[in-house]
Amino acid sequence: MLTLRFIKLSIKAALEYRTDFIFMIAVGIIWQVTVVAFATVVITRFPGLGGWSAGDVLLVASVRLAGHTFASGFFIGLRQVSELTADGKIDAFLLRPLPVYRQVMLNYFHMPEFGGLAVVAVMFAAAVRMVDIDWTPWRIGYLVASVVGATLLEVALQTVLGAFALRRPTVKLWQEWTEELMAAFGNYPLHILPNLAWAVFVFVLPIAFCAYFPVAVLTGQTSSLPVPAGVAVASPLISATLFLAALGWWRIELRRYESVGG
Amino acid sequence: MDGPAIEARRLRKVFTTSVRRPGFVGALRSLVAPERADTVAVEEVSFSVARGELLALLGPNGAGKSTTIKMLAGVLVPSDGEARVAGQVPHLDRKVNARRIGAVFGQRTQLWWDLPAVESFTMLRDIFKIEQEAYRTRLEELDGLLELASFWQRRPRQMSLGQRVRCDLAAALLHDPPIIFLDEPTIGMDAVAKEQVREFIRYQVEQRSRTVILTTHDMAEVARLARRVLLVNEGRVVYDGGLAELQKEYGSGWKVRVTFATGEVPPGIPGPGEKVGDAHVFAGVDPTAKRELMRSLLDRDDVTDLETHGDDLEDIMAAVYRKRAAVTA
Amino acid sequence: MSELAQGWRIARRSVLYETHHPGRLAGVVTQLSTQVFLTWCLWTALYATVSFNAGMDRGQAVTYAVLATLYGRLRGPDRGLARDTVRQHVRTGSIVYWYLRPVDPQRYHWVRAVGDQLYGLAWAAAAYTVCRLIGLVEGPASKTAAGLFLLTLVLGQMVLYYLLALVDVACFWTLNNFGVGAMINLTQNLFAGAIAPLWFFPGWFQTLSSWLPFQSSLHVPLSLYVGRIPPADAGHYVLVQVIWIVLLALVLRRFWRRADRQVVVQGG
Repeated sequence: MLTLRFIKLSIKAALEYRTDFIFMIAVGIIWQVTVVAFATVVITRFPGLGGWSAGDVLLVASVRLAGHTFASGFFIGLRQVSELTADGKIDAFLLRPLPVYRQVMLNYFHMPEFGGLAVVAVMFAAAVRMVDIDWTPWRIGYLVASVVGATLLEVALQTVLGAFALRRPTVKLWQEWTEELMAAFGNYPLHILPNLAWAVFVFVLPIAFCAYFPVAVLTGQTSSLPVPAGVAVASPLISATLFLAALGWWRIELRRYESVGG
Repeated sequence: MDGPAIEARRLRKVFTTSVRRPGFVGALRSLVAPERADTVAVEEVSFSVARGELLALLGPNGAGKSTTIKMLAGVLVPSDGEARVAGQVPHLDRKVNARRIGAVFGQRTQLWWDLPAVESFTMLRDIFKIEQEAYRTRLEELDGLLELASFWQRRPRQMSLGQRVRCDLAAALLHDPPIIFLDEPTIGMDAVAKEQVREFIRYQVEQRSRTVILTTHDMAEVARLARRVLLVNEGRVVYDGGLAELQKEYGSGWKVRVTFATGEVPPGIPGPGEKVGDAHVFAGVDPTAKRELMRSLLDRDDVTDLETHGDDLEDIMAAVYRKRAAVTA
Repeated sequence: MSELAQGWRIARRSVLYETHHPGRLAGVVTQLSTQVFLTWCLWTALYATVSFNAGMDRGQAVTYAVLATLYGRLRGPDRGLARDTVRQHVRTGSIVYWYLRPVDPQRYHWVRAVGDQLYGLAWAAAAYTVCRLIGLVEGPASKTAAGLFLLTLVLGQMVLYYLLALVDVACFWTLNNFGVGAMINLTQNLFAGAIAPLWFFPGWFQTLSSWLPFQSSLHVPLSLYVGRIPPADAGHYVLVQVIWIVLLALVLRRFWRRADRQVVVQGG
């Protein structure tokens, strides 16, 4: 209930600047189109990437984009932690009987992102037609779990960084950088990359768990993966665990919050 | 519940910052091995505030006033020592604490910047789960005291400072907290707005028996509102007691300002006095001398104006800060 | 103080943001090198199955992609963090100070941008040298290509400055144009070729792009550098750049004049 009120308020505030609001929606759509354009470029220009079919690659891109859309739609507030701290808003959040995390998350509801869901739907439709998968209920369930996992993974990374940002405003740069990297490298069968690079995406910035591993499971291509099949299957679970761990870290950092001024 | 409303026991807050070494080589070295430095903002501050009492927390800029308030409000976790608000540690159960306290940090607003203030109020009503009936009565009462209705449809970004802070005061009191923290609420306000806010604070203490901690640099405000003051400097408490006692201890004496019809000091008046404008100012430390002077002045017909006062509180504060700084140095 | 010295002092302002925060500098180094490395890996991998694509061989495509990453640094330090963007100044009202100084706001804005660019250029140049030394990118296609690359790079940066300055100045009456800014950034990334070299996109996309100012900034200089656009064709592109500069400069001047007339200050 209160969550809905927050969302309504945020949209009302955004509508204060009407032209800007329209532009934001346009941005959401253009951004998604960009992703689609890029995916098309890769798929049409470089067929048979890492032994995967065009449909497989498109499915990776779809899962990641869906996850990203939900993550930035609901959790974009995490990327504004440095501003919220500088404006003393975190102080105000701490004085209200609601979890600070939820208030940060709901501080700004990124409406335009949801316009992008249409693009996500189109991509999924195309991918599903192109891939050769027998859609059993189990597989459909796993696909949904993958999207939730992709969302949680991105949110987990942004939460960890956002928690740092409570005391160090420059962390914002890292948050943007992480998002850029995820957008640039999340859409590929990552085993095409040299060992060092995919190791980064498994252990440091675990983008691989976001869409690449789950789709490999769905398309039955786990043998080409650099990790055991079991790990790949557990991707959504791993993402959820990382998310919970990130929340714990947020709590720790919040205790160390220093506020600004006097 | 018994016991004091607010209690601080040996509160301490240390901030760690990284120091940049000068020069390019220094910058490189800081990259590899950043040098950390501890800044002690608050050092062993202890005091308590009784229920329904107003305590003025005073001190020069950077003395640690805001940090102390933020620790008591539960925004900051103390590095050491203990804060208790209504008998409980504020940061341990923030939700319970939030219902008990209200706070205004004068230079920051908790209102939604782009929305009419009323929207912020209803949002807070929902956050604090206030019954509609109670909400309406309280808003009416707050409006009566602060005259908000004429501008509460405006967005904070379009408000004057005075209007914005008044809205913030209302926002902080909507959930009827027994304890209020006010960090420089009247900073930058015009005289009329200040007066209204002071009256509001006084009403909250005297009529509604709320406990208030107030920081300010405005000594007229302190004189009007506070009976007890707490002076902090460089993170330590340097004085905790009555305002009157402080004045007695540090005040250097009395001043009497007289305007004579002739413009000159007539014979028979003790002391020559210093001519300031049309008037003459007599000053001293000995109260007997003052009484004597007053007696001789009151009998005269050629005294057109007579004013008497102690040292300005401003002067006293400056004296205290200087004196304590010298002691600690 | 001479005009030049004053200009220099204003220009270096943004640079101080980063040099005063060693952590930020280390961050930039880490971020840039990771990004360059990964981009190189990706494009090398993409070309593992094909040797020639969209008129570019592997070396050309990898060079284009890596240089496009370096190009991202050209815009200098993040001013948003330092709360020093025009949008932030307009929103908080501190923009009035721009009008109380003996420097024309328009000029101040320009000089600051030049400072940002020079700082970014230093970074890009240093990173470029490293990339060349370890063989991540190829050299320019020819000496002529190198010359034309530098010329179109400078012109392209001017086009970009005018575009971004228009967004900045538009804040004066839209007050909040985060959306407009984000949109320009995005279209810029897409149509300039920062996301993927424009040559890989479908024909209609390239036609659309040729009618927009964005490709001037990145696509044209880089294509000349790798030899995808032969030097003989350069004249056409340079002309288009110059036309955009003149057009946008005229619009910007009008914008500034309007802005000066109605400085809307929030709050107060």
